[in-house]
Amino acid sequence: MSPPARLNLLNEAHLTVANEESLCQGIGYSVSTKFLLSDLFSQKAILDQYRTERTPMALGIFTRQIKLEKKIDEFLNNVSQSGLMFEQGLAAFLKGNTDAFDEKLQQMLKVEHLADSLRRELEQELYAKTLIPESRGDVLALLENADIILDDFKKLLWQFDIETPDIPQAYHDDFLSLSRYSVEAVESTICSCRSFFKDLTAVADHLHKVSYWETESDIVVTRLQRNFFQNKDLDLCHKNQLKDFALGIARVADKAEDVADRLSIYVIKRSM
Amino acid sequence: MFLFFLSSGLFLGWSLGANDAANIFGTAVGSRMIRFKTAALLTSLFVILGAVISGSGATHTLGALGEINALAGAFMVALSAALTVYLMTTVGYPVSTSQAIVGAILGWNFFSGSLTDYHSLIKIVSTWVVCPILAALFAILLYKIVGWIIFRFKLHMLILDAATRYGLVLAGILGAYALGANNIANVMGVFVSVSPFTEISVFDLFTFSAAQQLFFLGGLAIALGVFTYSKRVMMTVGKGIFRLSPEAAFVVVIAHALVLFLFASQRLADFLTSHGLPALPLVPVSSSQAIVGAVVGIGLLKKGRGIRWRRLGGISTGWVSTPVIACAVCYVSLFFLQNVFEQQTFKPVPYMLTSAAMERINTASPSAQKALTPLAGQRFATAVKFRSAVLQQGDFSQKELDLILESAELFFLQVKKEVIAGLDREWFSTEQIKAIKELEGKVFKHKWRFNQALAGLSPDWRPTEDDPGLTSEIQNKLTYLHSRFRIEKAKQP
Repeated sequence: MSPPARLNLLNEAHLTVANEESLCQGIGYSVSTKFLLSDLFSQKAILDQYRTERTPMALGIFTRQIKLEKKIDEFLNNVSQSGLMFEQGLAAFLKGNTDAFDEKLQQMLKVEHLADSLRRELEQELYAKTLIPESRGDVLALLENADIILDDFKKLLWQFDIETPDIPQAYHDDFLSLSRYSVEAVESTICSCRSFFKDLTAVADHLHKVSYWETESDIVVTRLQRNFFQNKDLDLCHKNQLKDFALGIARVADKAEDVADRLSIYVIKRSM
Repeated sequence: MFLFFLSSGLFLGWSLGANDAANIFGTAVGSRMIRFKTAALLTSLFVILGAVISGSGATHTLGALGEINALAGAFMVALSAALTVYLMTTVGYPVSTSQAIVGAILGWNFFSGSLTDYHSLIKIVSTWVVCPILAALFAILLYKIVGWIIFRFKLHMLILDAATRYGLVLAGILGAYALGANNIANVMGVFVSVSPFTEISVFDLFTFSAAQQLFFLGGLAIALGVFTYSKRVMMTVGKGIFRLSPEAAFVVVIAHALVLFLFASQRLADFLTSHGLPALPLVPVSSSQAIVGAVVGIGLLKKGRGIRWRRLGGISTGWVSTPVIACAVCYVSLFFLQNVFEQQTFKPVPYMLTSAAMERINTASPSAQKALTPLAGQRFATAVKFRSAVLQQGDFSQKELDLILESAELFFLQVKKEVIAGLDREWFSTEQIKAIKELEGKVFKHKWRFNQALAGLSPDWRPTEDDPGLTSEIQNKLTYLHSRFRIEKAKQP
């Protein structure tokens, strides 16, 4: 299917970009190939698309809420995309494709900046307008923790740019797997965050996946560390540097799991 | 003097605002969905509007306090009810003004030697038990329905939040309007007939009747109560018993409104009776009890984990003690008012088995009439004395006893031209007014004689068994006429 055809499908199905999962299902992408989305539609084009969508008359009285809802979705999109960008950036780095890596880094910086300002706007509006008084503390904590994940992805990519570590070919597959698993853990966390806003009963459907991907990333990072330190060709400095990068990537999955744990508590609180 | 007596009504209004009005927005404020200031502003505005626009119906039925036949007595009943509610409000317990008033009226009944209609009293007291249980059941059912809707339509948290907020505001506004319209009679009803206010016309656009000015004052007193003292009760209702989610807060308000509607809707009662179903008694139920019942219902649905039982126990004790305290305070104060300040706190209603009364009893129960012969022609100062004298003559069934008491009550009525001229032509039918006019100048010793005379003149005055709604409307109109045509025995021509 060509990109314009996919865009038409998107319009016809009235899928909001916000709901990335249904978007992926709607146009036939698997979760693991989601990153292709950013190639097909630039973020701006998609955001413009739904910004021009008219609010139905009956929902006119909820204009402020609908705007906020879109901002939350936009923020979560940014976090999700940061993971996809990191995965692509790392792949480009390992291939030695500096141009592609730089491009992803620049994209990441923009997304991080956008997410920061969105988070601030949300914080202000939720507090100034006393919205969702019972859950706003939880929602803000959720957004802040999600923002930390995005920050971590950015920092990691920066670190690759600064240190340009020499990663032996033998570890490339494990590094790619590690980044895939961390990104999947983040993806599942974002999906459960979206469910938290719309359908509490569906949150649990995604939460177990977070634990699964976090465990997978733990297995890979342990294997990688063991291999680094058993490799006699590498000096200790090099081993430590590689270990730091591997642990950094795995730590993102840990943080995603922390967010998921908090989320399960918020769900219990909210269903009271 | 009028303004002095009015002050107790205003105090009662203030208590009503501080306590009952808190129920309307209590759960909304407690769950932080609506700010206290917004809630207070909306309540005040709509209580005043309800009192001024829809409160005028109260002048026809004079409200619960209308039974009290002397201004000083009415003053003391209102004052003791207000004091009791104030006392409970300072402790932060949601009690009901109508509960306090019932207690105070009982105190007046004991003091004046009037008979308490135990049948109605049991009916009212039993609703104090039934009302919270019913509210709890409604709340559980509604909570399940709302839960299903949220699950089915998967509304976004923010949209759900906004919808709940709109719902709470709307329910609160309607509740405040209804509170103003219904309860202004309790606060100001007794003062309508003695009000010195005159009609004010605003640019010929609309007129502000004397009663409406009085109700406006009462509404202002309620509003003042809301602003100055209701926050504490609001917090008890909204947070003190069980921590409510915003959606649960909305469910509670709706369940409470439904229960009040069930106990107040004449149309619903008519509908149920006409379909052979048992109707709920039409009695003033307490909104505080409905609210607390609904909150507990939600708490029980959550397996009772979060319910603060100690607080709930305190509230229930408050419900039992409120009427008792009001009754005691009223009795003692009436004693002082009458004996120390020499004010007439009640007009004695004497009883006498006149020949007409004996004849009426004979038609219904010849045996009863025979037993009562030794009492014929004797005058008894109070209902209590008459009742005990009757009971000494033999055993009577409750129906016979009711008939004897009703027949022997001396209540002098004179159908005066000027009173007829002042009757509300919209409330009475042309036929009814015509029948009243035909009785112009006549004097009656008993209420039932007056009722019989009217029924003989027009079918519009005849109660029917088939239509309980019409019968109760006729009864309301007759009670109103009794109070308007009443004369002191001394003035009898």
